[in-house]
This record gives sequence, C-alpha cells and structure tokens, in this order.
Amino acid sequence: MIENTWCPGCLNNTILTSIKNIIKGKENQFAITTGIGCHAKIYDYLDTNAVYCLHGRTLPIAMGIKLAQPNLKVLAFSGDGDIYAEGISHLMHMFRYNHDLTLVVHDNRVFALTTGQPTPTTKIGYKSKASPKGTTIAPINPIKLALSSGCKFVARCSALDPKHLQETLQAAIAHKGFSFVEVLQPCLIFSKDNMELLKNNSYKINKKLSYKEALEKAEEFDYSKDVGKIPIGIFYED
Amino acid sequence: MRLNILFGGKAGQGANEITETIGEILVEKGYYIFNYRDYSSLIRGGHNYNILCISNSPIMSHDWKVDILLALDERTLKEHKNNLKKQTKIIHFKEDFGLATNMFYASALLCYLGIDKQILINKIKNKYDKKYWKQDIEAVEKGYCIKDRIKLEQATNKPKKIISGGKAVSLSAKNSKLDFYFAYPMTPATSVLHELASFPEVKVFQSGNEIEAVNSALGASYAGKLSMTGTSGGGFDLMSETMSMQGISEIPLTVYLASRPGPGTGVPTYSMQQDINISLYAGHGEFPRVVLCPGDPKEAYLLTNQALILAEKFNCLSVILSDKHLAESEFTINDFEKISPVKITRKIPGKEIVKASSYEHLENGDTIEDSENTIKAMEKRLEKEKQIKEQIKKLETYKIHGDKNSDTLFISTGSTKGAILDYIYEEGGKFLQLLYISPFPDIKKEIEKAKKVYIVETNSTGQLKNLIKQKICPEKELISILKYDARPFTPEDIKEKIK
Repeated sequence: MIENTWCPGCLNNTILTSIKNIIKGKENQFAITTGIGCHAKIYDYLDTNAVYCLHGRTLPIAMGIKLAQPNLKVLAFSGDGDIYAEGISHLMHMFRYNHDLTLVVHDNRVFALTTGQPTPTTKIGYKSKASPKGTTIAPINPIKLALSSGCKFVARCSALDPKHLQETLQAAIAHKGFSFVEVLQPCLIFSKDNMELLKNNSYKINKKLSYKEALEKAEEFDYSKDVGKIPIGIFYED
Repeated sequence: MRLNILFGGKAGQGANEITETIGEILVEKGYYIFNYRDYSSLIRGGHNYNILCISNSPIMSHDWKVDILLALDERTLKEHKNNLKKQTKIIHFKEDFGLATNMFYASALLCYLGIDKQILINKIKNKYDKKYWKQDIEAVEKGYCIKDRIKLEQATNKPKKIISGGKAVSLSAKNSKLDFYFAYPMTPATSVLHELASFPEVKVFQSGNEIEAVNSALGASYAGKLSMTGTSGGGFDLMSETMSMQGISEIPLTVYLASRPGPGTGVPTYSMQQDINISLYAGHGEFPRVVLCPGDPKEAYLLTNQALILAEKFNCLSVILSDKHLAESEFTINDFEKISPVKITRKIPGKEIVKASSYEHLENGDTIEDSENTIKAMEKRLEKEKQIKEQIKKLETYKIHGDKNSDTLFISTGSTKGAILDYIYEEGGKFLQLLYISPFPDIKKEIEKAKKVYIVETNSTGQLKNLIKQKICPEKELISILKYDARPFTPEDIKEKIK
C-alpha cells in the first residue's frame, strides 16, 4: 500500500475506514471506481479491484464493470465537483438505468485538490481565487435532485459519524439497484466552517419516509445559505 | 459493361428499398452490383436517390451519368438533369400509385431490362406481410408496361452476396465473439448499432452520450469482456479523453469511426475522409494505437477482427476508420475470409485483484509521480509501439492492385478504393491501397519506383498525403487528387482530375 497523502486529520479517512471494514476479507468480491480529486486517492488505499477513472467518469466505467461481471459488488466514488459538475450527465442517466451499484459522493462542497474553487454544492457568497467577490451562483440540492430523478435509494451521511456512515453504506450496497449516498465531508483547508455547521445541525432520520416526506425532508437543509437542520440517513428506499 | 440506374423520389417513397430489391434480383441472375445511397438529413419528403451500377464483371463504384432514370416524383426529373446522357431512358409516370408506387416503378424497370416480373412477385411474397401482397402485386402487373427493351449483356457468374461496410463490421464483431457494444446514435455509424442489436449473441447498450459509451466499453473490457464502441467524427471528439485514458490504463479498446464531412455538424448524411488526422492523434499525451482502414466490406470484415485481436493482444487502442461511403453503400462480394474468435487471456477482476489507472502507475496499478518510474512507464508504452510494429509486419498492411509494372502509382486508403480500382481497370496504372495507417507501413520503395504518384482522398487539405510525407519522407513529388463536395469519387471523376 502506498503512502496516504490526504491532509492530516482529513475526513476522507473516515470514509476509507468504513469501506475497509465493509470489504474486509471479501476484497475480491468488490470492484471500485473513482473520479479525480481528493476523494479518488482512495483507489490507492484499498486492496481491491479498482479503476482510477478520469474526472467525472466514475459512473460509466462502474456500469461497464457491473454489466460485464454482475457478481462483483461495484462501488463508484466521486467528489462533488467530479459528479455534480463534470459528471452530472452520467449521474442523471444512472438514476434512469438503475444498475445495481452504489455511488458514494465525498461532498466537501469545494474543489479541494485544485485549491478551493466553488463546486455545484458551494454556498452563495463563498470566496476563492476563482470567485474573489464571492460566488453568486445557486447550488443544487443533490438529495432533491436524486429524489426527483427517480432514484430508488437516496441517503445522506456525515463523515463526522463513522458508525452511522458504515451502516448506511452497508444498506446502500445491500439495496438492489442504483443507490446514491451523499457524504457531507467538510474540507479542513477550504470548507472548514462547514464543520461546525455539520456538528451542530445534523440529526438522524429515525423512520422510513414516504416519497413526499422525503422531498420535504430534503428541503430542510438549504445548501445555498447553510441554514436549517441537516437530516442524515436514508431519505428514501423503494 | 457498366449500366447505371438512378432511383429517385421523396424520402419515404421507397426508392432505397426498390434499389435493394432490384439489386438482389440482378445478383441472383449473376450480375455484380454497386449501390450508392444519397439522402438528406430528413425522414419524410425532400429528395433521396440511389445509383445502382450493374456489371457482368466485378465493380465497386457507380457513375454520375446514368443510363436509366427512374423518377418516382417530378422533383427527381428536375434535380437530375446533370445526370443524364443523350440516350438516358427516363421512366416516369404522372399517376400516383399510393403506397405501392415503388413496386410499380420496380416492375416498369424489370420490364425495360427484360426480366420476368414473377421474380419480383416472389420477392414481395418473401419479404412483406401478407396484407400488402394484393396492392403490391397489382402494381407489379400494371407497372410491367414499358414498350421498348434494353439488351443486357448475359451474366454467367455464380450468385454472390450483397453487403454494406457497416454490416460487414457488425458481422465480423459478432463472429469475433464480441460481448458488448456501447454506442450513441450518430450517422453513419448507426448501422452497426442496429445490426449488432439484432444479434442475440452481442449485448448492445444505447448510451446517454458518447463519453458514457466509450467509458462503459472500457469498464466492461477491464472486467474481462470483449467490448467495442462506435461513432462518427463528433462523437469521436467526445471520446478522445477516454482514448487517452486507454493509453495509460492499457485496458483493450476498439473504436469504430465512420466519418462524415465536417467540421461541426457538417454534411451529416454524406461522405468525406477528413478524420484521418483525428483517428491518429485524438487524445492527449503519447501512447500507441492501431488504425485500420478497410476499403470494402471484405476488408471491413477482416480488419475488424484484426482490430479486436490487436487491442486484446497489446492492451492497446484500435481504431477502425471507415466513412459513410463504405458504411452505407452496398457491394457484391464472394464469401468472407475466415476469422478467428478473440481470446481473452489477461487477468480478470474477481479472479485476481486487478487495478487499472488513469494516473501514471506501477505495473500493479499503484499511483506514482517520481521521475524514475515515470520514465519506465513511458518507455514501456514506447516499447509496446515497437512490438505492435513487429506484429503487423506479419499481416497485410497494404495491397498492390492493377499493373505492377506501371510507373503511374495511385495511393489511397479507405472508401476511395472502389473508384480507383474501376478507374485503373479501364485506364491502367498501379494502385497502392493502405490497410493500416498506424503503425504506418514502409511503402518508400513503391513510391520511389514510380514516375508519377497520385494521392487520392476525399478532403481538402491532403491529410493522407501529409501523413505519407511525414512518415516516409519521399524524394518524389506527391500529387494530390482531392474531392471535397461531400460526394465520393467515381472513376470518371478521377479521369477528369488527372487530365
């Protein structure tokens, strides 16, 4: 295994640990794909079948693998820039295709590896070298997007709650069909203020929601302003 | 003998359909046919036409000046004044025969050619649902009404097969044991999507776009299945980043590129060879690839198999370069050469742990960035290029046609083959046809031996000529014969350009 080059204390490690626990002893029954960005370094840290794809292309490669080897459990990893910007069309089609694989989005709400530009989940007003006066573009709400696009398994997790994260990932992998897991994982360098918000405002969904309830729950957290409670857990499973 | 018949009408009137049927009848009678399709980017109305060229010896091209004009509508008469000779027989009726119009005209043509109408009636019964028989057969009976006759030279050949380049690519892929084909519809590559989807042996997935198509093909290939994608120039542009990813990840990949005139949307249902450069250079970074250029369906069948074998053997990118003229024209051929199914012998995930990466990496897939290992990885790819070169020396990478002692040499690749062959058959000359353009075969001796060297291609900048200059550095002057009106060469076109 090669050296871990995530920043010390990076929350990507929490996701890595959860996945390691899940695939332990069954490494050859899994195949993973990654996009490009900080999240994608997970490729090097896991001893399993893996394709380090191009930026945004984690899903179509994952789909090819699943079609060719239906017995493999396929996990696609991506970042928020990766899947909501570059790879959005693949995500939309995957909601339709409903292939039996899991997408894990490491959503730190910023392009970290390219040093801090806004992504489609960055709040309005965020300042960076690319947006010195603060971004004015409204973000998307990935949970609403998934629900309204017909996704049959929609979940949100917090990288600050490893136990809940692992349980949710296990449920997603067990789900027959495409499962979508958005993991809020603040970046220690470029989106640090998200940390307090996530710590103080998140709470667990403790019952099975109807589609209508899931949509309402998805509205509770407004990505554009960083206000409201942040529900985590399975929003919807059909 | 070369007899050209133009079938013209509105899209939906069935000119293409009866051209195919008449072609079948003539081939069953022992003739050779070549069927050129000319159609616009629309579904109903407008104006489409075919030119069916008939001969009692092998032919692979048509002529613009026709002997018979079958005008299914008035517009055909107006549009094709330039296609007429003094003697051209025009078959046109003022009356409308409804849905059976095309059968009426087909029958009139058979009458003029002196062929029994019963053959057409049998075709109708074989091909179409019973509910159409009555009206179609009535049309055939009425249409068999032309007073004069043309005397066709007797044909004595055994019946052959009629096939398009696109169908040959598809059949070859199937017989090579292709597992997956991923594609987004784009003319003129779509015929392969349709054809492969009709074979239960091949799993076909219509992708959301070309980027998805090529990545899914790469994913399935990584997982140990024989996979391919196909598109035209615009889609190929979208695929280029993933072809680059193929270069570094070394997951076998075959891409079928059926090109059409560009730039942009260009002239989408017509033909040109403007994508020679992108077939060779698409994708950032430096990595080896094979580019194969069939000139007819028999070669398309053989080279598709070779493309898949080479991609698998060298974990490399193979591009099958075709164009609309080859993909959609119909040729008369004997049987295909024998091909062998592609065997996959590499490591498969699920059996062993396999890692593949778009990053520079070690043999085991681990990411690296240091200089020593970067050099090693680069040199591994360079070495592979050498190995591919060695391997293809065992294969036929170019062909010499015509008079081997002639000092006039024509060089071309791809779909220009037919017109050049038919030209030199009448006018003499030697013809070097390139089947591979990457790795580029050593053709220097052939060039230096000739007195006059013509490079024939359907584009405006001489991409093939420039490639030969770059690869071979010949001392001899290379003379370009170019055509860029989005229509293919005919033998007559070549004759005029040489004058």
